[in-house]
Amino acid sequence: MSKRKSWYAILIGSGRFGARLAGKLSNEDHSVVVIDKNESKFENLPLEYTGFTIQGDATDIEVLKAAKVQKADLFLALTDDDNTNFFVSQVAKVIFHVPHVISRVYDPANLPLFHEYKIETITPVLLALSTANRMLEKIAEEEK
Amino acid sequence: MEERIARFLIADDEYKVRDLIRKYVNACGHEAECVSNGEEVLRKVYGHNPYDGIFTDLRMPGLDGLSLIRALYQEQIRIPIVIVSAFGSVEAIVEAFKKGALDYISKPFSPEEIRDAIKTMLNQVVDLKISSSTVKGLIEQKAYPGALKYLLPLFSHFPSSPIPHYLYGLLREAQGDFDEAFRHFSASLALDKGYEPSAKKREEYRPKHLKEGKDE
Repeated sequence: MSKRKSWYAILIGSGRFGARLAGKLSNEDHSVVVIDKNESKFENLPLEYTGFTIQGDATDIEVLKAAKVQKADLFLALTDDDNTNFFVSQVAKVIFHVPHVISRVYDPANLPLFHEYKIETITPVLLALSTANRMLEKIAEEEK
Repeated sequence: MEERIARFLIADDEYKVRDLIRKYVNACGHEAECVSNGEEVLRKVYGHNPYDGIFTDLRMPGLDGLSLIRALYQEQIRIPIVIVSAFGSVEAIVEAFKKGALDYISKPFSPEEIRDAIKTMLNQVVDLKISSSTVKGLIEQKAYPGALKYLLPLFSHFPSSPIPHYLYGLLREAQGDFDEAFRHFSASLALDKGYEPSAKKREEYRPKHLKEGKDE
């Protein structure tokens, strides 16, 4: 048996972030499925991506079933719309009992809602703020 | 991990898919070879089959998956087969199962589905081996009713295998019914012309039958 378990990961949204993350996961020998409404978005996937793609609307439960969401170890909602991300994450968590659900949240004001449903979150604004803070602290330290 | 290192053949025209299956087969401690169409599978298994199972796509250029399963069936080459495909009509899948396919995995697939398919393929081989050695042991002990009890279900569980007929031949031979034994060794060879134990037995019997003016 392999030293590390291979996951079955489903990613919603094949934008720059989703596509790069899909490439990284498939490169680590996980089985990856990327779903996007817009087929041209799959062009963002790196050449070495070895997973699957499904063109469809992830808010349609039949699309999620076609991706075998009930078998997923990991579900990532990475579209650019918080409402879509919240809806699909909730479906993955509550209906299909996916063990690990992570969602991108653009508006930090929406975070409590995601956390109420035990959905883990990635918030670009907070990540940028945190990085900016670290940089500013470093500059301040150097000026002392 | 399985104790024995098994060998699997993976046929899919999509490089990324066959590579993904290969990675999961390797992760289970087994070996895998990849090909991109049915013709390559036939070339590799014809004459002598070194594989414990085949993963095949249905849609491939050249010889597709269903044609491959038909060809293996016609050539009496018995290998556990698992179909891995995104496509497939109900009719095609039903025919594939009738001709010996063990399982069907739709794309996309999880690592767990490949692991389960490996277990299914290996269990089929192991079950027949365990049952065969049990039947042979009972025949040696002259426990013929017991041997028959173990043997009869093998005909329905493994209808396309030469082994149940071979074992039945051994049983009838031990009971002194040589004509019946000869018929079953021949039936075994009809299912798999390369099955050596039956071929050897039939060669032992042939001169005797020819002398007595009998043949199969």
